[in-house]
Amino acid sequence: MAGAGRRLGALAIFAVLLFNFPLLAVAERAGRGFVPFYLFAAWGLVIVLVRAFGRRTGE
Amino acid sequence: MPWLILALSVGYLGLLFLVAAWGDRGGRRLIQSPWAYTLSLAVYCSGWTYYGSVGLAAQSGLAFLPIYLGPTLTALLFPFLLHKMLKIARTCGITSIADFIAARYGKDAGLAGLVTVVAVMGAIPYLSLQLKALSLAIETLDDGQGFRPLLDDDALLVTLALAGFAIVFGTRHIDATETHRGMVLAVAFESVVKLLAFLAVAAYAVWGIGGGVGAVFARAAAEGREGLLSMSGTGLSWLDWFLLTLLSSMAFLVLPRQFQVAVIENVDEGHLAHAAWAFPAYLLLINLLVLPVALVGLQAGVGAGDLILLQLPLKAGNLAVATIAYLGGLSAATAMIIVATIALATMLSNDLVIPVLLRSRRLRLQEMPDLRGLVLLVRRAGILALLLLSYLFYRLIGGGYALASIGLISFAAVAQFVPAILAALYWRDANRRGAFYGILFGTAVWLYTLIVPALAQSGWIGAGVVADGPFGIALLRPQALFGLEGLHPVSHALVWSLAFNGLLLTLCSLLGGQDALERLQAVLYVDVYERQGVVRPWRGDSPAGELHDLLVRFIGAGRAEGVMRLDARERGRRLLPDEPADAAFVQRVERKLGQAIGSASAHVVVASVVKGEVIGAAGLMEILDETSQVIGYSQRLEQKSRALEKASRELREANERLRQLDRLKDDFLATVSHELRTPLTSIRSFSEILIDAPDLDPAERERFLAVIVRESERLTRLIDDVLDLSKIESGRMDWRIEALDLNAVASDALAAVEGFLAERGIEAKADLPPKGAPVRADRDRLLQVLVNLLSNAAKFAPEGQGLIRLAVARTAEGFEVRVEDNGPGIPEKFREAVFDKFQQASDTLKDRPKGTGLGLTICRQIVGRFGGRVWIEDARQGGAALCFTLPAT
Repeated sequence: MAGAGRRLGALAIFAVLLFNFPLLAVAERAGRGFVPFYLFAAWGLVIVLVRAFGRRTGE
Repeated sequence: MPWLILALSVGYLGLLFLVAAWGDRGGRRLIQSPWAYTLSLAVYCSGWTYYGSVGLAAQSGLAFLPIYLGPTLTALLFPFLLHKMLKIARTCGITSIADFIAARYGKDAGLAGLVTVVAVMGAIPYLSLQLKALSLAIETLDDGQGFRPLLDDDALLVTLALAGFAIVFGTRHIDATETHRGMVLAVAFESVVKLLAFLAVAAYAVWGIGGGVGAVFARAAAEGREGLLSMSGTGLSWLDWFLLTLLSSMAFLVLPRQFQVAVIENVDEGHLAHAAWAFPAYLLLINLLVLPVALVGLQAGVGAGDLILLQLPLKAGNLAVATIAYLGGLSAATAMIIVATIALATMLSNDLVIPVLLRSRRLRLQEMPDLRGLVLLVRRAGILALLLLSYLFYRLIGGGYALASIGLISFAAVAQFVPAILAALYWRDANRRGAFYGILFGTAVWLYTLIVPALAQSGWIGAGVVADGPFGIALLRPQALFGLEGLHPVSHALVWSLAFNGLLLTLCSLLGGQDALERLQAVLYVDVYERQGVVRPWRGDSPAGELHDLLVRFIGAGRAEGVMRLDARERGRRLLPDEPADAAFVQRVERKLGQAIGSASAHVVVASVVKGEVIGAAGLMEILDETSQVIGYSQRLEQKSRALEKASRELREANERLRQLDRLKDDFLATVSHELRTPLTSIRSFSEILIDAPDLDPAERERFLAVIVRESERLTRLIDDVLDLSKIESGRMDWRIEALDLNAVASDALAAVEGFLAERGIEAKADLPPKGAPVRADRDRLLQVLVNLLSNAAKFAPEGQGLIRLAVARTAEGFEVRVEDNGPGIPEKFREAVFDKFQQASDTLKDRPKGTGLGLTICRQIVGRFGGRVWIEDARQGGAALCFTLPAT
């Protein structure tokens, strides 16, 4: 359980970083119109990771 | 048109009733599906999401997203944070968020009341948002005609209709912890409807009107609206973006309606892991086309208001799609209103009104025989009052605000519960005073920083208060408190309100203490996984009958009887009416009452009946100490008992091994003695004859002397063998391992037994590898093995016609040595036994050959020491073949 907690905590921090500065700043510089694509792609990635995590810990 | 809208609305609400009724009666399988739970969580997506997100996107691009990214982040913590809340709610019979907080801080009625008031204050803007969304949708759909035939005010008509619906729908049961299966199923159904409706209308707008996402984005860029596709277009700073994400992540868990569906209505903890990914996926889907739809709205010239989703199909003249859009919006708003009003009405009755009424001596409620009707009446009145207050808010304040702005004001209000809840879950020393003052001052700051500017904007107070601060004090400006400027108004309010809230909670908890019940509940909350057992804070001697009567008044005779039966089953007998109720029974009654009227009210009611008292701090600590000591002692005993069991098992095994060894030793000694006695007896007998008969015939004398010599040799061999075996087994043998040619040792062995073989008329053949057989071994011991095997073969080979073959061959293991004879062979079943001490294959034969019975045992030990193995198989010429291997160097 402790190991699973650590992985989930790491995933939460990863997700917070994905949706905040500085990665959004990098996406912003990639060109106008890229930010919406980036945000939804990151969102999808987080969902896939949580799903995969749930499977590994025996959902 | 108004009648079409009315018919659609009534038809849709009727369908909801059918779904709920089906869910209440059956639908157990559906409700136990994780999808039902996940979809019920999507009650988060209300009219704000359905209409407001598009409106906000049309004005500020991606600024609508933090409201959904926040819950996505919270969902990651479902398996831990929400799981703990679920466990506590189950253990304590929690009925609402107010109950959850108050129960942790000593079941304090004052705190429960405060949380209820704040929740209601926070919910009113949110409910008004739904009323606004619905009435605007109706106005848009009927082109401003309104329901003139019924009422001159669309919003009021919507309010009254929804109040009636929520009352009939949500107050059918009194037990607030009972899962409302029908309601959950109806809400899940609504989540499907609003998602499908949104996607259908959005797809129509983007592809049917806008020509596809690419074309819409390209036009936006050409029209100079590309700012809406970037972070700079949101008008939010990075800090605002972060704070709004944080705010929505917190609000998601503590909004009364979210707490209701996520905690109270949960039927299976296992659903959390599913919802952790499926709920964010729902949010992603419902937001995917928000920005393109907003851009299409702007490009189509319908404006940047909240109703783009409805206006687009209307402008395109597609009434069918507009109807779908309206139904989706109706679905989103009604789901929120139903769940929110049920949750808030339960809080209002359990944590605010009923406790006050119960305390009133004038009303004499304590003497009323049946209070169920009163509880239901309070809840129904609560629903009506909530919706009417929301209507007033909409008319007086909210009319000038966008949907998203109103929603964020509500979020900031309920965020005031977060410090108290986190402390409840993880900080044992947090106390009631800290939670109370934290929430109180946090809410006051919320009022000052968000509601005061709203009142100013609506013209209820002077705008100067916001612009210059009260009495012209710039540091107290509501939207730039203490000089903090540049933040979004909601971010600004969040920062200051949570700062005051958290500070007061921490300070009061560090400086103040806890009463006994608080301490007890703190342990129960923080260590809920470790302490699933019941903690009993009551002691007293009130009769069980009085407590039973109390139950009857609040939950009815049938349910009270159920409680009595359950108690009787668990204690093995039914308590008599005049028998003193023990702590377990008092707590059972309190818990059951708590499910109907909340833990704080239940505590007050039970305290009024039980003639005993809640155990004081000293008494409680005494009991806890005793209990802790007993538990500790019991754990130590258990550990010791387990260690003793293990030691005992090991001793038994060791003893068994020793017994076996002892038996083997006895057998060995007996056998050795027997084997020694046989030649000794012969020697002694023949020696005595020689002494007693000096005139014995010389030939006879010589024969006797030969026997004596032969038996002496046998005795010597036996003693040598026993000593060898003893040395090998005890590890005292002096091994001189060196590189050898096995061929040479084999030839020496053949030479050593040559005389013996010739004497018995046995022919010996050697089959040795021409290139030699290099091995590493002790030469003398290897020679001993070969001589032993050859002698053994010679003993069994038929005298005069015997044939022995000694062969050395290269194998994968190294070298294999085979000593074959043409004797009777060794039966399969003895081939292992002959390697045991004093066991000979000839034990079954009539003529036992001469030998010590230790030869093969010694051979196996020696070969094993060299890294080889010994076995027996059939020889090619029909006798036995004794084989062994040695590793090659």
